[in-house]
Amino acid sequence: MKKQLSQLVSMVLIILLIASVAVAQESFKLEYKFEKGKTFRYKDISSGKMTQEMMGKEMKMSSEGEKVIKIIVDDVSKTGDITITTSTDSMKVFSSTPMGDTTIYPTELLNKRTVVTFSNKGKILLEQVIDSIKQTGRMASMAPTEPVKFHILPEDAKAIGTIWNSLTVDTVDRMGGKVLTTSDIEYTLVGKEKKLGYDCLKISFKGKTEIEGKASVQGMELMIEGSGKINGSFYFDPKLGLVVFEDTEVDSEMTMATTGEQAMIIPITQFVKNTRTLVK
Amino acid sequence: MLIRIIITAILIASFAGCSFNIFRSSLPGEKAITPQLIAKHINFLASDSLKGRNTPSPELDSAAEYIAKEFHSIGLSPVNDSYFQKLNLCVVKLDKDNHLKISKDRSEKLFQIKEEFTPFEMTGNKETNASVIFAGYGIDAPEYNYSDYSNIDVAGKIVFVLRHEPGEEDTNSVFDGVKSTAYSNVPRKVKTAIEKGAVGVLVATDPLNHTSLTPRGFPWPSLSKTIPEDALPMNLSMDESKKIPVVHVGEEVINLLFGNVDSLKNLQSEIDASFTSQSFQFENVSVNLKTTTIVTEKPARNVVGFLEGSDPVLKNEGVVIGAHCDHVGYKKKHEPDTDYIFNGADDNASGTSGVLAIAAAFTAMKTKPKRSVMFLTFAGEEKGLLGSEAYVENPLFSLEKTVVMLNLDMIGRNHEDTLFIIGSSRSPDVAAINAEENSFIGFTLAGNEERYVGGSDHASFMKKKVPALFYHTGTHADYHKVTDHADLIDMTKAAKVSQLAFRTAWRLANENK
Repeated sequence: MKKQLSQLVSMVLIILLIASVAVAQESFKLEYKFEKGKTFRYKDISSGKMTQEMMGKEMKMSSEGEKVIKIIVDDVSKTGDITITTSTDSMKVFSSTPMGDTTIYPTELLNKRTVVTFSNKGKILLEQVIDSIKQTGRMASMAPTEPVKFHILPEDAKAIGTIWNSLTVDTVDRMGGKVLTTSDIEYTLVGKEKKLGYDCLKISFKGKTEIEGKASVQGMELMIEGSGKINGSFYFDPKLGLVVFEDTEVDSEMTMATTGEQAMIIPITQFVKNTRTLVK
Repeated sequence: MLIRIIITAILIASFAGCSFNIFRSSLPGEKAITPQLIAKHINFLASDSLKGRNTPSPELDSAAEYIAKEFHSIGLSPVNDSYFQKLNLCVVKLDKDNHLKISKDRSEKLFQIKEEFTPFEMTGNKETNASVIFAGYGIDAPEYNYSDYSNIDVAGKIVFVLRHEPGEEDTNSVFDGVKSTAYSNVPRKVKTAIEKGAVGVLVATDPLNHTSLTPRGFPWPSLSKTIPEDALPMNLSMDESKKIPVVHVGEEVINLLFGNVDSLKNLQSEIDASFTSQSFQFENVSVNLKTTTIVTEKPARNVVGFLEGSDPVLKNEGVVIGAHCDHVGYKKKHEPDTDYIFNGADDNASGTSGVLAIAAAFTAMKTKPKRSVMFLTFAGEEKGLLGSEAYVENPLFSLEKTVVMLNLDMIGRNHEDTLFIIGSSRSPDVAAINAEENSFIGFTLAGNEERYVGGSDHASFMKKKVPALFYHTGTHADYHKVTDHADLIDMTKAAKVSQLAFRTAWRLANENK
């Protein structure tokens, strides 16, 4: 009996050891797996604080936003590339400025479709605006240039605790000019976690972004440069190949300048918090 | 019988209606304000020959000469022998020789510009060597019973101050809490430090409410790869001899002086909690600070016309009627045969023409007003209210004795019956008189109180506690575009706005109290 017990303990220990090694070595190949014909919706909630400075005087502003993004999966190719049509179902923006508080429902931005093709790792391959938005006035700053942005997933399988980096350089055409954004993000596969009823992998990220660009507005040259710190986490369901929830914080410092009939240099400090939730 | 009564009632009502028009209280001078006179002025000021009246420009000078001639021909007097008030405007560039060295306990550290310190735009062209005093938020605010200078003498010293003010994010703050007061502005802190005799200022972002401690200072083009020199804004010149070096410092300087950021956070917490000065002098610390700038003068002129009051006592009080006459110039780069001039007919040839017409109305009155009246047209409004700011800093008529400022800016567009009156809640007595006078003019008065309060030259007077009203007919699709042309102006409406401002000014210039 004593010997049997000893053997049992040894076996349990071996099983535990094997299991722990197996858990430690369990790795996950992360891929987006949108299913053709399906429709998904994400709810984005954001809040931000911004300070603009002119002649040493600060102007504080804050904003809160809420929108629902619709994604229709048009096609999934044999190589795994996914084509989706994105649009915004609803949008509400509240802003508080020294000039007063305003809540707007920018209906001009609703149901404007953009077709995006991206790899199953999240790299955007093609983007085509179907319903264009006239980028004037308030629309110039609010019109989404990328309706849905995907995290770039690693090529190889990753075990829990693994850290990897992603460097992306995006160029966006904006108001007759180009704005270049460079992001250097470090990701960590934190572990498994149940989120909103889905079996997810929690992936945290932190990094820095840099922005630089020039544009032209009503005959004035507009320049922008700045940098920011980004951190947050997202929950990825590896079976569905979907991000279920994400929270992000961005702390940025930018300078906007104009030349032409009005010369200005405006330092801007901005803190934005955003959550994205998959709506069932 | 009943029919006769009804007909009689209708006739009485008709007569009453006629008699209201007949007995409408029209001031003799009001007749001088006509759509034709307004049109004459606007057509000149907004003509292509004035090329958008940029500050400074020869074309703005031409506009100023025109206005001065009008003031003279109307019969207004010059002030100090001139119809012009010279503005000292300038553009400041950062020069190359700037450094910050801190010696502590016999070791010296040289800090890197942009990464570890950056000069602010109000910095002086000077080098200073001195010991350092921590002066809290750098605020001396008697009305809040708060002073960071209560227990220290900073004469001949460099002060280290935090940005913002106690309880910045606290709605229970003795200061304004979430909305900052003027004391939180860096120029105000620098002004206080200079008044207290400091020879330099190190400004750090307060770490309790702000995560980023980057020493941004001013984003000088010479320290940037994207911002060009011609984006540098115009400012009012300051006496260079009174300026001192002012730099924004980052975490490295905080660590050297305080040991770490948390120590500074603790100090800030103590100030916020106790609302008392925690200022002290650093032991065995001295700073060598040098900033250099290149100042390019950009002279411009306000135009001024004076009508002395008739009452021996009340003439020492005054009413100011003003408008900015500058606009934003013209596009340097443009396609051939396309419109490239920002004529600024509504913004603000209309308001300037209103001031000229009101001046004509005052001098057309049979008697002079009891109080004196100062007519002003400002330069530099489009560059940040520079003309009116310069005036209130160097007033030609005592601001304490100025009973009201009436500002006309963009008065000739949109619906014929609608007029925005901004500033009513801050100057309710003046607004009440204006509303009474409007019963003779007939505008539907509207006013989003806060929206435009800081948007034009009245704001400079409000800052100095002078009651003010702003007459404005609203923005439009041609605002700050080359299409802001004279032919789009409703001259009748602009004349009516000017008549209302005249009537209000006349009342205010003659009221006994």
